[in-house]
Order: sequence, then structure tokens, then C-alpha cells
Amino acid sequence: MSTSLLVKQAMRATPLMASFRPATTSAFRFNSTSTSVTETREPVALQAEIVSGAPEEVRMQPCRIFKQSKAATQSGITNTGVWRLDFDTQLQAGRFENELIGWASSADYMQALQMKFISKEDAIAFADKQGWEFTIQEPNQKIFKKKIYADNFKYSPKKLRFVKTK
Amino acid sequence: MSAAMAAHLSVVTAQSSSLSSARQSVIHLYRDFQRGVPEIMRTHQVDIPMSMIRTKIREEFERHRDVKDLAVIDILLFKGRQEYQETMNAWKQETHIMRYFIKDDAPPKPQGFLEKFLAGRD
Repeated sequence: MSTSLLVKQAMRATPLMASFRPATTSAFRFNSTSTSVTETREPVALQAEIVSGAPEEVRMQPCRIFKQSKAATQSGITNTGVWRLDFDTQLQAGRFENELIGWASSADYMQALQMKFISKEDAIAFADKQGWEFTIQEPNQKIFKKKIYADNFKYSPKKLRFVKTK
Repeated sequence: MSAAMAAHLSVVTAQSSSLSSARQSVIHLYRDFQRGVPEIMRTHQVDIPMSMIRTKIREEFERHRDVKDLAVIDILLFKGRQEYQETMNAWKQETHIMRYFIKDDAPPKPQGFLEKFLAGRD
């Protein structure tokens, strides 16, 4: 758990404070390098959702904090640097056809919201502050193996990996 | 003239020292709202009975009953005072008053497959 979160929890703990939300116990997260989804945490922070003017239902909608993966068809990695916050598509999102033109419309006001953050902690702090239920998806770390052409011709006491002679 | 207009019913932003002083400020605001209901009805000419307006004010205050964070209470007080000033000075119009009641009057959402299908909604 990062120090900033510890500081925030300490600041919030006042003797008169009724538990508006259940206080978090140890927020131990499993940090893996694969694309496994880490466990969801209870929101901790500063209750900005009370004054933000957002509807109450937004807090029930789960969102995802993730890093976009590189497109397999291209080498560009510019978009993989930022951390994104995205709301999951809901089954009953009130999709309807616009009466006048016939556009595909939706009553879900969060479906188009895409936020970008420089670091994961920033994204978590923001989602905590807004009271959103979030899940962190760790990015898949690409393991880069250096290949040296000279290794094809290196002496090896064991069986050769590639046999160069006929 | 506009400086006097802006000053009418304006209040210095609260920085509550304790929960009890915050509670006092909130109760003052609540009483101001309830006292101003006849004037709201006269000024804005909304077709809503007085009891409903009083209940709605109570509902809005009850929504944040359990807030204990002083900073959040101060922001809510500021917003409440702002609403009060805008309502009593007639900077709001009838439509803004009716917005508080829109969720009560909204038609029920279609339930079940057939009703959703006929309404053309997901």
C-alpha cells in the first residue's frame, strides 16, 4: 500500500466520523505482470461524490483501470504509456433508436467517458475520490529477449541448438 | 445597482470549526428555506402545493444527513446558500424550481421484455 494512501486514511480517521462507507482493512493487491485482473478494492477517499453533483447510480457502475495493449498489427507504443479509466459496458444501458433520425442512442451517460492518467496511483486516487467501484488490470509486461547473431556459431559442449553442418 | 443585487442574501463562505457549529449553520439555512417558501410560491408561480415544496426541502437536507467530514459539509453549505440566494433573488426561473420535482413526475421505466420492445429501448 502506497504511503499516500496511508496518509489519506490517517487524515480521514476522526473520532466523530460515522462510517459513511466501510473502512478498508489492509488493501493487499496481487501485482502480477500478466493480464490477470486484480481484486477490486473498497473505495477509501475523500467523498467528492457527495458534492460533485453526479447521480447516485454512478457509484454502482464498475469501471476499469488499465493500460491499453499494443496493437499486434503495428509497432507503435505511444498509446500504451498512459493509464486509462473506462466504464464497463452495461447490459441494460437503455439503448434506443432516436425517433427523428434513427441514431443509435443510449441512456448511459458514462459509456463514452475515457480518462487518461500518467500513473496508476493517480487513476486509483481519482476513482477513490469519486467513489467509483474500480478494478485494476495490470498490463502484460513484454519479456524482451536479446538475440545475438554470433550465438548461432558459439561453441557448446552440449547438443547444438541449431545444427549448421550437414 | 448590480453590486447591490449581487450582495443581497450573500453570505461569507463558512469554515466550520466544529461539527456543532456546522450543524448550526445548516439549521439556519434550513430555516431560511422553510421561511422563504411562501415567497418562492409567490415569485415563481409554480403549481406545486406548499407542503410538497417543504417536503422537498426536507428531502434535500436529509440526503446529506450522515456526512461528517467538515470540508464536505462546508461545500454543501456553500452550495445550499447559493441555491437559496438564486431562488430568493429570482435568478432562477420556474423551470429550475421544477427540476427538483422532475424525478417524482417521470413516467415509469418499461419493465419486462415486451414493454421494452414496444418502447424501443434496451
